[in-house]
Amino acid sequence: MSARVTELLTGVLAQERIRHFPGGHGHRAAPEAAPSSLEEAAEVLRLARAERWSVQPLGHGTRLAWLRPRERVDLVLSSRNLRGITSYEPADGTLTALAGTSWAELVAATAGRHHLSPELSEPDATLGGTIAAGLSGFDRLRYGPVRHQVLGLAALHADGTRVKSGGRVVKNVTGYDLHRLWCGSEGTLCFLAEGTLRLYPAPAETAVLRATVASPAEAIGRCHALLRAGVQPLAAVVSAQELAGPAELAVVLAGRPEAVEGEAALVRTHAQPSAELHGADALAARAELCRAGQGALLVLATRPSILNAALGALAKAARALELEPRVSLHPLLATAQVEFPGIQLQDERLLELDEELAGAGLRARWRGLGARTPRPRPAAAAADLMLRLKRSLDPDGLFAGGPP
Amino acid sequence: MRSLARELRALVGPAGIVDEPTRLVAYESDALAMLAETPELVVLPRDTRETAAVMELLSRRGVPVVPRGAGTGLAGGATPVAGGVVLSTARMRDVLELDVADRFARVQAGVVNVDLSSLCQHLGLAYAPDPSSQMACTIGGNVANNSGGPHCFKYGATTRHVLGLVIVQHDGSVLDLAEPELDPLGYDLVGLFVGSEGTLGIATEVTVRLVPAPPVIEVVLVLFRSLDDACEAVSDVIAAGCDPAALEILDKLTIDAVERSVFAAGYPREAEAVLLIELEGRAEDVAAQAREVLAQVERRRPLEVRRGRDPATRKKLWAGRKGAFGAMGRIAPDLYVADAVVPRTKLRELVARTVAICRERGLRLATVFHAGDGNLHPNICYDRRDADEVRRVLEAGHLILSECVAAGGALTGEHGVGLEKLSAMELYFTPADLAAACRMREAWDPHRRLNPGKLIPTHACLEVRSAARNAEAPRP
Repeated sequence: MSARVTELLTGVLAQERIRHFPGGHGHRAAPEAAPSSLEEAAEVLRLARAERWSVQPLGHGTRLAWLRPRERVDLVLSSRNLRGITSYEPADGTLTALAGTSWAELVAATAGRHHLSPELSEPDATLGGTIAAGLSGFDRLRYGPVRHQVLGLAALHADGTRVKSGGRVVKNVTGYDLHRLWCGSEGTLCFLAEGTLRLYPAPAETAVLRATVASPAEAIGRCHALLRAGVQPLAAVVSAQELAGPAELAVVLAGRPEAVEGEAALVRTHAQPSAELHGADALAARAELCRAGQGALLVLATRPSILNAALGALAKAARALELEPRVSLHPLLATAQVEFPGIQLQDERLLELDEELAGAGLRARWRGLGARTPRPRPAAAAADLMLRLKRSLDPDGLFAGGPP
Repeated sequence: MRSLARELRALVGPAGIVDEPTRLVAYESDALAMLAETPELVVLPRDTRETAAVMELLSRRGVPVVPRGAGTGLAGGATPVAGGVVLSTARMRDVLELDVADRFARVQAGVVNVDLSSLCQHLGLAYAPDPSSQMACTIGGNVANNSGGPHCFKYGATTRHVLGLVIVQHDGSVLDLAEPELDPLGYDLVGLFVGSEGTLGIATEVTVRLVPAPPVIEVVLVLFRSLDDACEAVSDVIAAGCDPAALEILDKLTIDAVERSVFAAGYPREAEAVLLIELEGRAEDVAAQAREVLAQVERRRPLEVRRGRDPATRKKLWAGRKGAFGAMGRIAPDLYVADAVVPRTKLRELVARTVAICRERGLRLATVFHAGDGNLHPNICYDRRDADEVRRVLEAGHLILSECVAAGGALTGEHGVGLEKLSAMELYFTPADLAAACRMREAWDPHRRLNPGKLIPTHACLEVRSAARNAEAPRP
């Protein structure tokens, strides 16, 4: 099959646009087409449809490890040659770029004037891949999830037709928000071509205040005290080597100097920090915090008020399975990134842990488990509707996989 | 209809049915009075269970359904359809859950926007979307239209604040997405539903995000000698990276109407435009924001700047803006409130074009707009009894939309498409865009009985159906 796919691709793409996708994280190897224009991408899709291939869109592959491998992929359609900023309107606070444009390019273009959300630790992540993965960033507490940053998208449907939703203005309710459906749809509905993001004024100052506390629970308590005192940090991160051990709390403040100083005073009162970083040191610490939890195998999401209970359930289940989790928490978002140092991905105990967490009503997302990745469990009515949407928008099932 | 009314009455009780002609008149249109159709029947279920039973019955009977909140919409989204039933959420007014720790509320769809805001106020929280009709409009209606309001500039429109929904589908089945999840479990059904104008289902319960109420609020009111200056000042403020909570402009005719009404705010006669800027945050931050904003507006040499932080002064400074639509009743019997969006860098240019378009047609224009979002509301005064004037108003409205789209803008910023902007949809979308929208809609409502004829031009959907019939069978 691969040889035939490659051979037919040469009819619509130059040889240098075709290569071999090596697979990984449980994803199978397949021929990869990387068109250099949307017209070429549409041609590839039309060919794939005629040949009844199963197509998996791909950005840089940054989130591939989090994606459940598809049962069948005949062709990987990469956006890596669809790069470039279509328009950046500083006075308007919007940016439009092709799907394969890297996050690093977008950040560089807007640096100094605007903050680009989501704030990511993977500079190679692409615009399209980030949106398709529904990937939110370190700055989510202040700016919200990635789906709130997308003002409009253009996509190619299975028959190669270009479809748009939303627009390039900051406020718009014209028609359905199909772009909300495409965000986080993991390439199962369309091939994302171009996106427009809203931008925020760049904060003039950043400060990072750190405290060492007796336990994650105490750090969580201090975060909530900050919130009650009116502090609105860019992020608050708690790191702990073990769930019952001491924890590091880092509060990241960003904004006008006056706002940062005012909030820092409150943090001093309510979180008793032992260290404060400003200027370049603070920016370096912020970047490091942004990378925290990158080795996580598991992300737990719950409600802020029950995060402590969720960690208790995690600790209990992990203890029973003789696992020793290391956590990086965003208490005000109620997420926990969990690492298991020294544990192999094939370890059956990870799946047992998932069962235990599901039984405790916790929602978990796993990385690197390949085909063993536990499926999300939406209610039956929602699952039915998602399938109907898949069948309506991709009636031939060209794009590999179903609802995430 | 009589037997249907009897069956519906059995489901929702006598108080849940309106079928007397004198009472049905109240439902013949929403706030776009020029598009009216008297319904034959209105049903008012009290909760999800009753709504599901009603929808199941209407599905069996093949009856079209027009959902309705408070009827404050301005695009004809709640205009009844012949042979259909209006389903009103007016009796679903309970706040079901208010979670201070996790900052969300779960409410029935008929809860009035301002009631939710008031309920949160003493808890130090706020529900951010604040449409001008917030005294009457419902949360369910806000969901249907993805409503905005002045503070949408900072906080975003309704879609950013909806965490969950309970939706009754076309056949009466219930889609329970009420749990406030951080990220959707699968496709973002909630995000897709918001702004769907009642064409995908009936939202009966809404889970909304609450935000902390700001400790300090300052309102800065700037009076300018020209509308151009006010527009330029807005562009300057945004380009300088200032981050106000709201940026609103009123033009001369609006100022005159306000000054002659009970909302008189004491604006000087020579003022041609008012710019309202709201700043919020901690005290020291608000002071810094005010310095930055004033440095920008002073460049346009304003006539006067007024400022206030205490609630009474703020209320007074906002009075002209809040009362603008009411005050316009003094100018003409009817008001066509247009709604379009332009890139914020093109505000001045497009505002000038709207003025010219109306002047060329002998129409009086009063403009109030959410300048920070580039969301124009050209309000064209008319008398619906004058057929020629109505024709000129609609022509002007269509031209304004064309110009905004040509400038890179959009057809609607917060009112929705409804019936009003159907004919303009093809200015903005290609046939392929509309076909995709129709296919998505049919996944929710295959018989298109929910608010038929709204949001998407009908012929676009018929083309999709025809194409689907001719298409080869999907592979297994």
